[in-house]
Amino acid sequence: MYDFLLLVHVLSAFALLGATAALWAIVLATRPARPRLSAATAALLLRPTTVVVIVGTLGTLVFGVWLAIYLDEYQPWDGWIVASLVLWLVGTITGARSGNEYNAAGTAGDPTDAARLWKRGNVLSVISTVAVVAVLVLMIYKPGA
Amino acid sequence: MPLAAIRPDEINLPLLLHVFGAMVLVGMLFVAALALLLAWRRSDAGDALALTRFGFWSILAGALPSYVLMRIGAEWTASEEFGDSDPDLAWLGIGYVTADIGALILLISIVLSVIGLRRARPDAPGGSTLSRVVGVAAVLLLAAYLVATWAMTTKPT
Repeated sequence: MYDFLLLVHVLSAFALLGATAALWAIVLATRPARPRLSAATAALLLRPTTVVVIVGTLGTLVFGVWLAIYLDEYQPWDGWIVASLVLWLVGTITGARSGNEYNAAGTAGDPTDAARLWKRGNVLSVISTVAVVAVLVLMIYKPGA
Repeated sequence: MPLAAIRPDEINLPLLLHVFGAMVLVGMLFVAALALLLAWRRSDAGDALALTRFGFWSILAGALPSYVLMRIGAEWTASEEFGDSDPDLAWLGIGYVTADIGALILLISIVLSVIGLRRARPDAPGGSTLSRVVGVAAVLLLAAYLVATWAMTTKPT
């Protein structure tokens, strides 16, 4: 049971962080100043990548908490696990909001508005990515465990 | 109950680099495979060209550096954990085999991507043969790294 929970938790983390890297590649390829992909073409890549992000986001939470309950060594209220949950929430909220900003940038008629929305999406994406990477750091170092 | 998560502190940094590199590598291979296989099915030549170029660049600028990070992290972690000893562990062997075969397939994909970027033209609907080969190679690499992740995580004996 432990092996299964750990494997699915780790695979979910790969899905979340891997798809986050993939989303950054798509964002860079659609920057308004020098787009390599049109909005319609980028949407073909964004849909499946977003699905992977959502699966990874939910999988890390569900199987991570399950592991913390299953293992005697850890408790869900341990400091590093609570910090991970808070960062996971920050990453999820800012990540979802960045997606909304990018969508708005893609449909904005005015190029200045599109660039402003795209930049706001980038700021939110950076926060989301830093939060997700910080969770990975906590998972490896397990401070206080 | 396994206590695999408890490890010496010296291993944490190299392990972090190894895992982070592996995660980015998987993400870049995923998006490269997606773009190149989507280009295969596109009837619009402009779309196919844009997706093909994006897929090739994802391999060159994304998968290559993340592979290097993953591999350096792996060697560093192994040297911290095992030192000069030669552990005969199945999960470690699976990791090395997938990394080495993966390096070969990635190298071939990189060469084909460079050639493909030079040859990419807007009059080739459905993408080029090179893009299809690199797309399939990226899928094979993803499958191999799935096996490696299973081995690294569950550590079968």
